[in-house]
Amino acid sequence: MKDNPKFNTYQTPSWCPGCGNFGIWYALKNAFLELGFDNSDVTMIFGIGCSGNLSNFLKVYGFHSIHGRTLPVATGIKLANHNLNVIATSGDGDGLGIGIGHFIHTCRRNIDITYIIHDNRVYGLTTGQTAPTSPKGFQTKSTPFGVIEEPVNQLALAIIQGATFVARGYSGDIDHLASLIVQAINHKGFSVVDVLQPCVTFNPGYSYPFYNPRVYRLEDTGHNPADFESALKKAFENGDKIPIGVFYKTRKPTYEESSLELKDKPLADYDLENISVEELFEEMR
Amino acid sequence: MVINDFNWKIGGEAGEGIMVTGLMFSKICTRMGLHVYNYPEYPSRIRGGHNCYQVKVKDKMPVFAERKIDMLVALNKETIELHLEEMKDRGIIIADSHLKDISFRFGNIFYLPMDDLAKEAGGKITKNNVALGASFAFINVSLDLVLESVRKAFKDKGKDVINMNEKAVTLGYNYVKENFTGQFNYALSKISDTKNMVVTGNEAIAMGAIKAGLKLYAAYPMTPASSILHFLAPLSQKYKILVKHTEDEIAAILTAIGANFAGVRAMAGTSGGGFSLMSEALGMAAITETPLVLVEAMRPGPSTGMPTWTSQADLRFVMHASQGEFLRCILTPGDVSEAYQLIQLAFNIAEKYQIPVILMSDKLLSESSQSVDRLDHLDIKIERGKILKEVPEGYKRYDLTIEDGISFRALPPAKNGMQLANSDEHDEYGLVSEEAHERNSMLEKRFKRLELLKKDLPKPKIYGDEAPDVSIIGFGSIKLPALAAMNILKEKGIKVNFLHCLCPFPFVGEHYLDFINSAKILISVENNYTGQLASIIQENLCIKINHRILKDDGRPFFPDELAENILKIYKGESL
Repeated sequence: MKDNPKFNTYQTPSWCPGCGNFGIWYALKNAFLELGFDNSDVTMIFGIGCSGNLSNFLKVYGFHSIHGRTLPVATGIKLANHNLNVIATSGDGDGLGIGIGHFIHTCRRNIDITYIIHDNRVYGLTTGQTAPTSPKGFQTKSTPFGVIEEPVNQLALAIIQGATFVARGYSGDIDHLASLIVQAINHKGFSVVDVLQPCVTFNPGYSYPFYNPRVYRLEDTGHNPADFESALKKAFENGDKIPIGVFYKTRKPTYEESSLELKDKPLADYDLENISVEELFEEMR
Repeated sequence: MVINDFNWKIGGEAGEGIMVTGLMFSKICTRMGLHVYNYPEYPSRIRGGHNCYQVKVKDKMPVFAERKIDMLVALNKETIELHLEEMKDRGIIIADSHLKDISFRFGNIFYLPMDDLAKEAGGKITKNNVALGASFAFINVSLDLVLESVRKAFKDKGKDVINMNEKAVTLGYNYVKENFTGQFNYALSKISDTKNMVVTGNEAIAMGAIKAGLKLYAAYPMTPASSILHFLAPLSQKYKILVKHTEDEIAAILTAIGANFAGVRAMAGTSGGGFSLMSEALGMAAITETPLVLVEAMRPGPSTGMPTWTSQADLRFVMHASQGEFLRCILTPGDVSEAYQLIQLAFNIAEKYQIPVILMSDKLLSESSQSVDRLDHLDIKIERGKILKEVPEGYKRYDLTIEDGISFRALPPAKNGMQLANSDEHDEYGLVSEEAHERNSMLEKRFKRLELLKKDLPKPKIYGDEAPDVSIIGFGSIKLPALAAMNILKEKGIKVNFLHCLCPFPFVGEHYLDFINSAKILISVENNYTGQLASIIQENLCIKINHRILKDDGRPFFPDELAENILKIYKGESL
């Protein structure tokens, strides 16, 4: 494991010791190193929750949005200037609870944004309530008698709703996670990286001792990411063995590529002076 | 004979082409140099409900919808029943012959075999154009002019469609000329070669935004804002504007905020319901100091309310929406010209002061159309505010040392421009901070630009007599009904002046004091139930406006009813 301190701010992370967010932080910085990014080459959008606090520890162009809403902000930024490297992150509560509508629609859009989901299966910053990814029966402050609903399957959702790069990483395997993030950023289209991220304080049952013996790398199994059906099947594998790696990858036109108004140059590069609406006036006479 | 002062209305079932025919009627009038005001009414359904479209024609501005009708074109029975009360004594109704055997409490009904003539022209679908031809025959407009306009309207539809509709107009026209000549007391005549434009408020907003350099428009359909989306979408490639129908209004405002952050001029539009969903993000634009322009086109609430009708009841809501306290600007144009100009100003204010600006319209302004001879003279120079081209090392996005509180923006991917636009309270770099001194400094920074902003805000406009008997005050679309009511009162010898508020928030009290202090009788006129502008004046100036003429039934004030109410107050009678 390397570090890339150029991307540090003056603030030191406020996460609990052992928090899975540290792994994601390092993996991101290492991915930037690998990609040869300068600080100003990265535009990142963050949500609310422990994952959102990452915004204070990365020296990039950042937008710390509101709860559940990172993807539409990222979409606006990307549409305004499609030359930017746009990365959105959010927690599982943030992005798959209140913000799940935006998630599905952004998958449909296949816009060239990388989306990292910090998946700790619990609400951490609000001190331990159930998340949409919590398993059935999970007992928390808000569900003392156990969760009744089925958990969200974000990987399966992403695959069926049109995301063109779908992967899962583990914050306990930083180098592997960094390589997934590099691939996701290099991918043209909407790339989703779900990250198994232990919350040692509010969800100790799903911490390193749980994940370490269970996770295995898909690339070691001969899994073919171009195979839609086998990708979907893998997305439902969530028991004694938990796959990490690239589940699904395909190439389809991105939203920007299909938007003819973006063909010549980014919207941000247009001069605003001397636009004539005379023709419109004439139409109305 | 009454020349060039005419009120026409057409009614029928939704789906019968009422709106298209109404617009065409008005355009033919404007091609004679005349001025029009078009007022549509329709229910929130696609087929079968009653639709009507009213065109008031005059030889000069201002023009506004009047209640009393000179000519009613009834494509069905319901139209006669619903609008009989609005007929002038010497007005006429044109109806289809199949209604002949029904007795209506009105004498001047001319029956035309509209369905038969339409079939003869090529199909029942042309019935509205039979009615159009018939209407113009009664008011002595030349058939050639009508046909020329029909050709223009159908120019993209092919020769067969043009021929069919030309024939329908001609048959309707000739039927009237042959059977009812000389039976009507009104006529229109050409007064100049100027062909005025016919523009809705939403079209004016959209065109003004294009002129101001709009590069992204994000919206979710909601009446009465939807037609901004419909107008811009087909123009997206021509003007290089990304027009995005987003998954909901939350995404619409956030997409616009993201785009503004990345350095383009972006706007979102909605009505009250959608604005409710946008409220949380509005505060995010404010705390991150990201410029933002929104359009809120009002309709009666609460909740779904009356989707296709007008109201001015969201003012207080938009003023206060979202948690915490922050600076925002609300602009309230009164007509098409002001809408075109103020949306341009909205973009300048949003970027110069790095705040959200909300242009508030309503169904009346957004969907009614008005004739104007030109708009280009209202263009405003684009001012983008403080944006750094070259960013120095050590850049602070929220630099507190800048006197006016407006720190420099750096746009990605400018080198050295790293920053955090943070919805959390933050330090000068944007990184989270909850220290009291930092919180206080940032609050002060965000608010102190108000003093400078005040100089850029549009002052209220004052119309009418210098030494008035009565003074009225209103905002937004109240303008045209108020001016029309003043004309009626003037004829009765009552002098009225009118203060039209174009920027209710931030409220600049000194702009109002002279007017209010010199008023003998002061009346607030508003399309809401509680008198929101009056209450804003009271809280800012400690002056209570005792007289209020309020209406929130979805209909605008008609000039005669407004004049009547003002007269009652003047005479000391109760409303």
